[in-house]
Amino acid sequence: MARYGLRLLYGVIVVWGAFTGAFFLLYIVPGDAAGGLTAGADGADVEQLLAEQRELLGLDRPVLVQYWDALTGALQGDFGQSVYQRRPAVEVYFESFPETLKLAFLGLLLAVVLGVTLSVLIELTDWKWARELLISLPPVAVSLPPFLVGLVLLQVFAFQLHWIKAVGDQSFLGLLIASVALAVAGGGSISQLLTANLRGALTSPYIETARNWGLSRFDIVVRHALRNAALPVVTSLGTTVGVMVGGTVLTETVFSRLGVGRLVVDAVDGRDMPVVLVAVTMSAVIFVVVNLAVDAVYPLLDKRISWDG
Amino acid sequence: MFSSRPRHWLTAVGAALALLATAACSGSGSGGQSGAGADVAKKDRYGGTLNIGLSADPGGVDAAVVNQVWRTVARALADSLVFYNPETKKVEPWLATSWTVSKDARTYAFELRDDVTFHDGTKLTAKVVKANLESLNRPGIHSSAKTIVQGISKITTPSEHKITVEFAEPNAAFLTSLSRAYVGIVSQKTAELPVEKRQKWLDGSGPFYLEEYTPNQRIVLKKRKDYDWAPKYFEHQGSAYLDEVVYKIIPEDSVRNGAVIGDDELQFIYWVNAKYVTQLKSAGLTISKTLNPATGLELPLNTSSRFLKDVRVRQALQIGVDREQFVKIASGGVDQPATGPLSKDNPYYSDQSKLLKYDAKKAKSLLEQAGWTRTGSDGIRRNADGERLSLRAPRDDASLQVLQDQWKKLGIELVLDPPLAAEANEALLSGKYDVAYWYASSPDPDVLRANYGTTDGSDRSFVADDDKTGKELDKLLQEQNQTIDKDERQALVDQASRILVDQAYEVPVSNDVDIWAHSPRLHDITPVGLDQYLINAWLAKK
Repeated sequence: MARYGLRLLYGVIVVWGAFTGAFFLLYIVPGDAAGGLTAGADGADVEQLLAEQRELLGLDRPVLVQYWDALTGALQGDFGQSVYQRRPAVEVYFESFPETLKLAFLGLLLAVVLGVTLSVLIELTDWKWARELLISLPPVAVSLPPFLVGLVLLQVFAFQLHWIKAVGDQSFLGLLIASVALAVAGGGSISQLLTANLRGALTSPYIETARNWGLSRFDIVVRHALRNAALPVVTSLGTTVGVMVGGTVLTETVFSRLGVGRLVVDAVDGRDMPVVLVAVTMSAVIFVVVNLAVDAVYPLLDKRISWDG
Repeated sequence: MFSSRPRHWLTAVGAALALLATAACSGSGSGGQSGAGADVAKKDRYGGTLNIGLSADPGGVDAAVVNQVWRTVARALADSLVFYNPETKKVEPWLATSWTVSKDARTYAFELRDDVTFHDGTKLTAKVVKANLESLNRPGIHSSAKTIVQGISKITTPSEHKITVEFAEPNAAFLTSLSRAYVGIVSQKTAELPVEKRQKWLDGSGPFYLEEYTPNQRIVLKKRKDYDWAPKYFEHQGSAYLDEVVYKIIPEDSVRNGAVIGDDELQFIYWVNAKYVTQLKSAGLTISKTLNPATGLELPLNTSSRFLKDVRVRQALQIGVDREQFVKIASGGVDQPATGPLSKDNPYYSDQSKLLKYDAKKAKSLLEQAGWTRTGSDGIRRNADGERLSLRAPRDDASLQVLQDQWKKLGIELVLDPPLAAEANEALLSGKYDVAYWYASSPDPDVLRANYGTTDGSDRSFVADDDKTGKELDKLLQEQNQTIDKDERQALVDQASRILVDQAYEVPVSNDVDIWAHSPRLHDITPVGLDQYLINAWLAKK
């Protein structure tokens, strides 16, 4: 278990690094929240408005003082107030977080279902033409950006069929359709990886043995080969989660859904430092936790990998 | 400054898709019954919910605190002391029944209505108005509201419904500025709220009150049944027709368009990009266009830049713009070619079109006189020192690309180097650009002083100390805001406009036109400037 202690320490460093990186990146890029707040003012004395806002927001203080305040605050769970919404950034973030979580989780689930089903189908199909058609699907799916799929789905299900509302649909169907937009690309990449691994597994000696036992083709593919081929896919899930969360930005925009993705884009755009810091820190925490969890799942899939290794 | 917002590649694809989709499903019944509703009796116009699509969360509901919300939500919630009549271009009574302005443009005395109440039930009095004006000068107000009340030296309330406002310096623009939603009058309690609370809540005396504001989702307004003080201009007695107005935040253009085409989820969108007009029209929507009463696309030239110190180079830029061609390409002919620094809808419009005629030949000869005689293999002119005539501009969009193209034909390079939104104000004011841009929406000529004034104003053409004409221009710009007499003021504005254009302190390019698209069921949203007035708006039954 000592290995996991060390991993946890790495995790803490990753989260701190993400926080610090985000802070200074946002500091270095030109413009600040005062500029964002005064944008669109068409009066005369914009300089004065700018200077006053800077002072009120504390942006005129030395950067290290600002960083220290942000860091010590964050350690106590206080990331400060969102500059635009004027309420705690943590509150703003966690209001949107469940929406994104639902979307990303369902998207991931669908992606796995889509990807695995497709790969198994490819292996089970006897007709050459059908097989080639199926094999050509994943690369196409991978190259379809979520927003494009989203726009098409929206055209069909909202504007043509009227099954969902085009704007901020809160129903489960709405969520499902939005998550399909996410799942297509993710499912494609899972299927690509899985198909390659299944190929490898199916030509290995132990499958020969299984064949000799007289197991059915379905049993061989699903019970034996799939299990061995799944390991690299599980490893890649860590990054797929990242891809999913990235995809939510566009999906949330297209479906006008409340969510972290949209929130972060707006926050970076307007230099809403507290909101960006909460979001980045939380993303780092999720990343660390998912990877720790993936590590923990390995031994369950492959007995040769032990928890103490 | 946000009239044409940066669009990204996502939008382009979305538009293409939406076009495909409408092409596939139109053909059946477009056109239809627009205009048919005009005969509906007034009593049958009551009721219904109007859904309006917004592209982004406005960041608040009170125009006094946040920018740009004056166009929409804020105008429905709060009334102003005076009303700017877009037809007569005169200021008329609203919450104030009458007023006097001193000859030196320093003292304004208002008589208020005595029957007006705010949504919280309190009454409109002089004290409330005083609290309003004072509150706009507080720290934290970061909208244009602050610049309107700057310079007030004293406010007195001689009686319950009389108020006098005094300025330290003359301020002829004050009355028109008061008509803007920035200075929408709110209840005493709202005026005293801290800025961050006020941004989320306000009790005004408007025809609607705020029911709900959920950031990034929706803003819900309900009608005030006891409203009875709409400006005369609307010829409207009593409450608004609509029961409810819901603003929905829909970031994606093609989705907003699709939602208004269906009429189920939206009945009104604005800030429509000109490229969608054909599509929306053919889907049976009503398109209306409103001319910005202030400026439009206007490029201040940095006269302190080493390239633009020479007036001949500036003039070459001025007459090197083919404005007719520009509006055709940049906005599909929706915007109008500029004919002076102010739009035709400004009460002090000044026609300088003679100085704005496109003349490429003359432009080239001006450049040559200025020493930009050699042309490199890249088609860009060079001077005796071998310097390239390369200018930087803080924006990169279709409009600037058209100008880039037009100026390139003269041998001038325009480098498009946009700052990020959050740094835009600062970057523009620092003088790091040769060509800047500017956008103002107030129907008063004082926008020119605000922009180009040096003693008082933002000096966006960076007038050098030894620039005599620049000093003369500044004098005129300051004087127009100290002059109440209409003809005298017009004369000053005319002179200032002529100098601005002739000396090319700025290049007026086009007057921008706001495009609104709505369901044919929706009638009578009245534009006043770029503001939407909903008092007369009504929805025909389905």
